[in-house]
Amino acid sequence: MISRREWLAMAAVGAAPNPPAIPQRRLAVWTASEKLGGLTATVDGKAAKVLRTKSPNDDLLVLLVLDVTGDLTLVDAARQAAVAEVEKLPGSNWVGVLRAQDGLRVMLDPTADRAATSNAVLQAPVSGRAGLLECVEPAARLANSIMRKTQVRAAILYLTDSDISNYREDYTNPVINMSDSRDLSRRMADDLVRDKTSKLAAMLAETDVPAFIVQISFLRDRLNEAYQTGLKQMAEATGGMALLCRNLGDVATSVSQAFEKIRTMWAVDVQIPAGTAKNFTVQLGSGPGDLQYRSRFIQAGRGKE
Amino acid sequence: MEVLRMRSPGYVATLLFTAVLSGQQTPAPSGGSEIQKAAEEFRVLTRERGLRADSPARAAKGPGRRAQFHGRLYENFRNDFLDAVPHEIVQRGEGKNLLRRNQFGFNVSGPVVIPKLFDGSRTTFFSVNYEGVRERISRSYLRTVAIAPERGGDFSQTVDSSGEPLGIYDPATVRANPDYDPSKVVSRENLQYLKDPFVGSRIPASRLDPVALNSIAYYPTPNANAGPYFKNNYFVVSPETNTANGMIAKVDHSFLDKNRLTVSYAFTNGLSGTARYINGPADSAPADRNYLNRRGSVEHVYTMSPQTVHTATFEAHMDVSENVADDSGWPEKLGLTGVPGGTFPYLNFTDYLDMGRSSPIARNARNTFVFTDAFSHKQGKHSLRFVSQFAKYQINTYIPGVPAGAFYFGSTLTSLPGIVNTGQSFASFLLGGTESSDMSLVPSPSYFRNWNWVNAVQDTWEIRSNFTLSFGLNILTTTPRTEKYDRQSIVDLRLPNPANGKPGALVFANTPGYGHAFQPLRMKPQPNASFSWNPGGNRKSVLRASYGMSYQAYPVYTGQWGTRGFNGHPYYNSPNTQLAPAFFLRDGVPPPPRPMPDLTPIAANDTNGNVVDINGRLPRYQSVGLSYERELPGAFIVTGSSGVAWGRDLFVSGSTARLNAVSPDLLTLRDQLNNLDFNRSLRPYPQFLEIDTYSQWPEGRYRREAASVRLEKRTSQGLSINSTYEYSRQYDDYSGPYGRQDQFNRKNEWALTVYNNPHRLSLSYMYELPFGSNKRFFNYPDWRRYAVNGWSLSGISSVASGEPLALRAQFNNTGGVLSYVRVNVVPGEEQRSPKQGPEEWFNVAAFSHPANFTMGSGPRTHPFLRNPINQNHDLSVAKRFQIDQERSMEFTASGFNFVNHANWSDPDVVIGTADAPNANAGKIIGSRGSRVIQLSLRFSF
Repeated sequence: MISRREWLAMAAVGAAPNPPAIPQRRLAVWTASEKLGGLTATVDGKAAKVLRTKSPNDDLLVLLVLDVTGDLTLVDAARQAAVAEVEKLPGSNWVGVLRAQDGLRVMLDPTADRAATSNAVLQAPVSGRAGLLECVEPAARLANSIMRKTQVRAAILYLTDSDISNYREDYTNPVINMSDSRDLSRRMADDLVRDKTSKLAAMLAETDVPAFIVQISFLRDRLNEAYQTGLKQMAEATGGMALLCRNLGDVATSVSQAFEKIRTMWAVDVQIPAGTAKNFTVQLGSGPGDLQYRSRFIQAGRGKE
Repeated sequence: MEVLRMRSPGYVATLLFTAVLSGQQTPAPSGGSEIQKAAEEFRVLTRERGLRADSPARAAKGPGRRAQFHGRLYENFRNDFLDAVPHEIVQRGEGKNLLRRNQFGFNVSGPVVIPKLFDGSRTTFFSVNYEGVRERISRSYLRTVAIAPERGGDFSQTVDSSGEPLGIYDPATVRANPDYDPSKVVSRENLQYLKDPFVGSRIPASRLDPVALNSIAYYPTPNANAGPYFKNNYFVVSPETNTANGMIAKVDHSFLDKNRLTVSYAFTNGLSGTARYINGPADSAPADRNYLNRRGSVEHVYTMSPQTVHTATFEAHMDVSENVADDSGWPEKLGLTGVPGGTFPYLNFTDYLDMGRSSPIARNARNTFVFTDAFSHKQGKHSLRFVSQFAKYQINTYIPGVPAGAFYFGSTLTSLPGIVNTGQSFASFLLGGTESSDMSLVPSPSYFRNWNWVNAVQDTWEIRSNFTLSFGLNILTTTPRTEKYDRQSIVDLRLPNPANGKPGALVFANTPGYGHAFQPLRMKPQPNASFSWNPGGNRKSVLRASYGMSYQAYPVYTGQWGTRGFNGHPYYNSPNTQLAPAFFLRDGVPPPPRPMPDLTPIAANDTNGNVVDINGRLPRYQSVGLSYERELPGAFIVTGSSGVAWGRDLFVSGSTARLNAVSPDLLTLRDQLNNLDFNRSLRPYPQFLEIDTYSQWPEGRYRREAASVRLEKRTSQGLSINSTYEYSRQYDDYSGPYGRQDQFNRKNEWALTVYNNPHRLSLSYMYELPFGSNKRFFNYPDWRRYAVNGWSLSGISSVASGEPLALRAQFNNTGGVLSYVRVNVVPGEEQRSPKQGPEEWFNVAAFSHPANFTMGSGPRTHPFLRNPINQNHDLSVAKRFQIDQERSMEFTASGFNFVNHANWSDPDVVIGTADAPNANAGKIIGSRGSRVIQLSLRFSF
C-alpha cells in the first residue's frame, strides 16, 4: 500500500500505478423514446448500478475507417454518401478518418471541420490490399481506450469493399499443387475465414465501442459468403451492425442507415459487480421499454488495451 | 491500460484522485470539452501505436504489440479404415478399397524485417504457403476381357449379347459366292462372299499369330462375373498415386504512399501415377506423368489520384509434363517388326479391354506470358475503365502418339461378310489380322506460338441514384498458331492434289502463297451492356438485365497435329475388312510409303488430312439475362433469374464434322461400300482417309435457356444458407462421344446436349453453433466452456436430374458411311418403363435396331428419357480450441457423401437387333459412391 504522497510523487514522473478502476461496461442503446427514464440494469440476473447515460445530443466521436481497393464506382458512391452524412451531423459530433488498406493509418484526426473531413474522405486512396480483418482489432482497442478515458459516445464505421481474396494474409486456402484436382479438402474452404472472423468477434466482445460495417461490394462465392457472414458476426458482437450493399443503389442508403444508427445511439455505463463471470449478460429495463442493445459481453483479459 | 502522459504532475495527480473518488476510470489528460479530450487522446494513442505518419519508429514494434507473424500448420488425413467401402466394390464381392492420403503444409505471413538491414514492418509483407501431398487412392473399373478358352483360340463358348453362340469364320476361306444375286440385299440366304466357319468355333493352334500369342501373356484373365454372358468379367481395383510438393510465395511492398508492388512465385513438382487396368507392361491406362508448374507475377498499382488508379501486371506460367513409360524394346520382345518405338504397342479390341496405350511417351511445356495494363477513372457519374491485355503462348510439344504402332482388330475379319453379329474381334486378333493400323514417326518436337490481345473500355454510368447503366466494348485480336521453325502444314482444300486432281493438297508454312500461319489474324468486337434498377427507389428490390457477346480466341493445343510432312503418320487399312486384313502381325508392319521428311503436296495422301478453317471463323457466344432480387423479412434474399445463351461456329471434333464423309444418300450402294477403294472414290477428298480438324472446326451451334431461384440468408449469428434451384434446357448439334450420325443434315442433329441436367438443386450452409462464450446457449463461465465453445457446421448438398439418354444401335453396318447409328423409334410403344428400376430403366421394346445400311430415325439424345438422378451430400464439423487471442487449434471432421448414398450407374443404351437383342439393354448393373472421411488438424497463430 502506497501513501497518497508517494503516489503523487510517482504520478509526477509517470510511474504511478493506475488507480483502482470500478469495472464498468458501456452499452450502445437505441430507443424510439426521446428519454431513457427509470433505467435499471442487471448483470447475469443480479441488479447492477447504471453509472451514467449519454444521449444522442451528447458528444459523439465517429472513427470512419475506409477500406477500399476495388471498383471506383462503388467506392465513390460510398465516399459521396459518407460526406453527405457527415455534413448532416451536429457540431458536437466529431469525425476522425482512417484508412485500413495496408495497415491502419490516420488520415485525419477527429474534428468538427466538415470541409476537412470531406476532403479526407474524398481524397482517400483506392488501392492496396484489403485490411479490415487486420484493422478491426487495433481500431476497436483504440476507440475503446478513448471511450474509457472520456465521456464521449464513440462508434467506428467501416466503409469497405474488401474481397477475402484480396488480403495480404491468405484466407482462401488456395490450391497449391496443380495436380491435386480431386482435392476434397478444399471443397469447404471457408473454414479459414470462419476461424478468423470468429476469433475477431470474440475479441470484439471484450470491447464496448459499437462497430458498423458497410460492405459496398456484395460477393456471392462461398468464401465471401463466409466472410460477409463473419462481418455481421463481428459487428453484432460489438452491438453494431453490418450492412451488405447488393448494388450501387444500396450504397448511399446503407451509409445513411449506419450514420443514422450511430447518431441516435445512447451510451449507458453499467457497473459490473465484483465476481462477475468472464462471460456475462447485461439486461436493461426502462419505463418506455423497446430498448435495443447488446446483451452479451466478455471481460477483457489483462493488458488487452 | 494506457500509461498516463504528463502535463503537470499536480494536475494529473489531482485528476486521478478525483476520478477514483467519483468512480470514473482514468480521466482525460487535458482540459477542454469531452470531445476535445477525446480528440487529443486519439492523437496521443495513434501516435503511440504507430498509426500516424509522425509516429516514432519504435512505436510499431514496442512492447505490448501483437505478434505480427500469422499463419497455420495443418494436416489433412484420410485412410480407408475411416471410410465406407464403395458400393461398386461391395457389389463385386470385395470388402477393401485402399485410400491413404496425407496432405500437410503451412502458411506464414507477416512483415519483412531484416535486422539492421531492412525494416518493412509497415511497408513490406510476405506470405508463404507450402503443401505436400502423399496419396494412394484405389480406383475401380469393370471391364471385359477374353475368357480362358478364347485365349487359346476356342470360341465355342463365346456368345453374342443375347446369349446365342457367335459364329467365327475363317478369313482364309473367303471366296465369291457364285450364287449371289446382286438385285437382292445381302443376307444369309444371299451372301456375296462365302467364308467357312472354324470347326467347332476353334481356331487351330497353327493359325494363331505368334505376335498375338506373345502379347496374350501380358493380358489379364477374368476375375468377375457381373455379366451378362461373360461380359463385365474383369474387375480391377488399382491405386492412383499423387506425390506433390508445392509452394506459393508473395511479397507486397508499398512505397511513396501511392504505389504498391506485389511479387508472387509459385511452383509445384510431382508425380501423378494413374490407376492400372493391367498390372504389367501391357497396361492401357494413361501413362504416369511427371509434372512441374511454375507461376510468377509482378503487379504494380499506382493511385494517381483518389479517382484514378493504374494497375500493371505481368504474369508468366510454365507447365511441363512428361509421360513416363517402359520403353525397353517391347515390339522386339513380342516379335513385332517394322515399328520405330520401344513401348508396348497399342492393341485395340473392339469388345474387350485394350492392351498398350496411346501417347506412352510425351513431353510438353506450355509457357504463357500475360501483360495487363488497366486504368480506372471516376469522372462525375461515370466510372471508366480501360484495359489492355496481351497474352503470348508458347507450346513446346513432343508427342509421338503411337511410336510402337496402333493396331485395330474388329469382328468383321472373322465375320460372315455382310452379316452382323458374326465374327469376334479377339478372334481376329489371334489370327493377327489387323483391320487398320497406324504409327507415329516423329523425329523432333514442335514449337508452337500464338498471341491474343484484348483492348477494352467499360463505362458504368449512374444515371440516377436507383438506375445504373454499364456498357462496354472490347476488341479481341487473336492470331493463329505459328511454329518457331515453320515446321507446320495443313491440307488446303482449295488446291488440286497432284495425285488425282481432286481438291486438297498439303501445303507448308512460309512457302509461296502461305505465311507463317494458315489462318488470318482476326479482330472481333465484343460488346456488353447491363443495367441495375431499384424500382421505385426501393432498395429492397433490384432488377438487373444484361447482354453480352464474345468470341473464342484461336486455340493452341499441345500435340503435333498439323505437322505432316515434317512428321510422318502412315496408315494401313484393309481393302475390305470383311475379306482380308491390312496385314498380319507376324509379317511386321510394312515400311512407310514415303520417306521422311516429305515436303510435297501429296505427303498427306492416304492418311488423315489435317485441315483448319482458313477463313478463321471463331466461335461466337451471346447471352441475355434478367434477374430480380428481393430482400424479404428475416434477412432472406430471394433472386429469380432467367437467361438465354446461344452460340454459333463452335469448335467441334472430327467425329462431329466429318468433312470427308460419304453422303448417306449413297447408303443405297450397300455392301459395295465395304470396299475401301470404292468407298474412298465417293468421298469429296478421296486422296485422304478422313479429315482431321483436331477439334477446331467451327461448325457447332448451341442454345441454353435457364431459369433459377436462389434463396440466401446471412445472419449475425454466424448462419449462412444458400440454396439454388435451376431449370435449364440446352440444345446443340454436336455434343456427345459419337459425333453426328448425318454430317449433311445438321438440323436433324439438333437435340438436348448430352450433359444437360434440367433440374439442379444445391444447398450450402455454414453455421457457427450458438453455444459457448458470448453465444445464446451454454454460455458457461467455467471449464465447460472449453467443451462447448467454437463448434461450427458446414455443408454442401446437390441433387441433379440425369443427362438425356443417347441411345445407339449395336451394329454399324453402313460401310463406314456413318460414324455411328442411332436407334429407330417404334411407333405406339410407351418409351418410359412403367416400373422404372435397375432391371428396366426404360422400355427397350420402344426402340429398334435400324436395318443394315440405313440411318436410325430416333433423336441424337432422347427428349425425356434420362440417366438416374445424381445426388451428393458433404458435411463438415469443426471444433476450435482457442489457446489465446492469437493462437487456436482447429479439429475438423469432414464427411464427403456422408450419408453413404449410392448413385445408380447409367443404363446400357445399346439396342441390339431383333435376332440378337442386347440382353443388357435398359439395365443398370450397379451403383457407385461411398462415404469418405477426412480428419484435419490445424494450428493457427
